[in-house]
Amino acid sequence: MIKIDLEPSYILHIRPYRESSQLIDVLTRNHGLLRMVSRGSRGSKSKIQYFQKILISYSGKSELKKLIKFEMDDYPRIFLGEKLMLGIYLNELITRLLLHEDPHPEIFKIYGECIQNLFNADHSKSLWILRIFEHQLLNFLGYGIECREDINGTVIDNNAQYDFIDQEGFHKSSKGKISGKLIQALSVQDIEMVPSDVELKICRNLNRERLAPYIGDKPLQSRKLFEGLKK
Amino acid sequence: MIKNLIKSFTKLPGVGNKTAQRFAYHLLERNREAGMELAKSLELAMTHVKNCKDCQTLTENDICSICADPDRDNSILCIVETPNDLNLIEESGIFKGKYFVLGGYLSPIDGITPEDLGLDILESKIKESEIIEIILATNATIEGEVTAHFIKNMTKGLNLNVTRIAHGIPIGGELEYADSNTIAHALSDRKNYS
Ligand SMILES: [Zn+2]
Repeated sequence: MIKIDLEPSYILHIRPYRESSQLIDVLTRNHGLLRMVSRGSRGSKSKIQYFQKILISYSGKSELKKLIKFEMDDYPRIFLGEKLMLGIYLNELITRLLLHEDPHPEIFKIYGECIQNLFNADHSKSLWILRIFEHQLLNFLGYGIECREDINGTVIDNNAQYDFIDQEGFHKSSKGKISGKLIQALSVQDIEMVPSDVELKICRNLNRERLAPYIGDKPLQSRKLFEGLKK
Repeated sequence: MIKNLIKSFTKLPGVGNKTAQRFAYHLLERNREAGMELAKSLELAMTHVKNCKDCQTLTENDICSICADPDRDNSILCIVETPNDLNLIEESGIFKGKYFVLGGYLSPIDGITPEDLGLDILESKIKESEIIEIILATNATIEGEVTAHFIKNMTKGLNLNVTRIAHGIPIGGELEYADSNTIAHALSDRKNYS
């Protein structure tokens, strides 16, 4: 029986399991994405919280781990309204893109930074923070694209326009929708520079195109729900 | 037959195999009359209880007693997750409006959609009726908040007062025994003291 003590983790999703238990998707720092069963925890007084770093002790050799105990290692972040929807999207994205038990300490780190930044951000900035996270996530999973040079090996020009070509990179084109400035901002992950609404939309579409092959046929449910909201 | 009975009891929440055995042998050995009565009530309830056409709570009639009550205030609608939540609010005796029972919560990752909860029905209900206030009384869980947010968003453009039940320190409770999330919620939901 393998037992791990006080592993830094974030909760990504909790669903009811059998009569009184819960199935929990957890992003751990050193052991990647895991699924745990927490016995008899439904309706229990000490509630495990989202968007808050916890230390989790668990055991088990099979894919389904058994949660032994947890303690908070962070202050609470209460996400409400739109921010909550963004947080849920973030969590679903990770559960869909990461393989189980595939360690990614760097993704654990950027997730922590992302929820902290989201917590403090206003609407436009929240969206930009998500776009940067998607970019970082793709990079760390090995699906990164060249953002300093275009597909011809020329340095990205801040004042030029580009098209994105799947699996290849950016192609300079006067009719291109993506500005060199935006590509640069994404590339250096500049969360202070908040793009305009139009640029945010362009960036959303760019990332969506980049993510699509790894998300697969089943659409992200949180995205669907989010799109059903009135603007 | 006995095995089947025991297995049936384990379908109840919080009832494991041992308790189920106790239930079964108790009825068989000592209280057949109560057993027959239980069987009859179960049969009747399972056959005749349905969802209220108006608010979706459980009732044996087409319209439940609250919806049918002319003394209830039609202008305030309280939205809850389950019929049991409705009962708990009724027991508090403080609410005199009407209800809408979702029968669950939105959970996109688990594929529970707005249609599953009858939110389309709720939307037309809100638009067509004389409602001026909606109280979002879904749970203080992630899913309860997502559900509340979605319904709030549905009311955009309508002239409605949308409120959310407060979450915080239990009455008679001490701060010392509340977890940090509850305290954070209670602080952000604080109101003027008078
Ligand atoms: Zn009713």
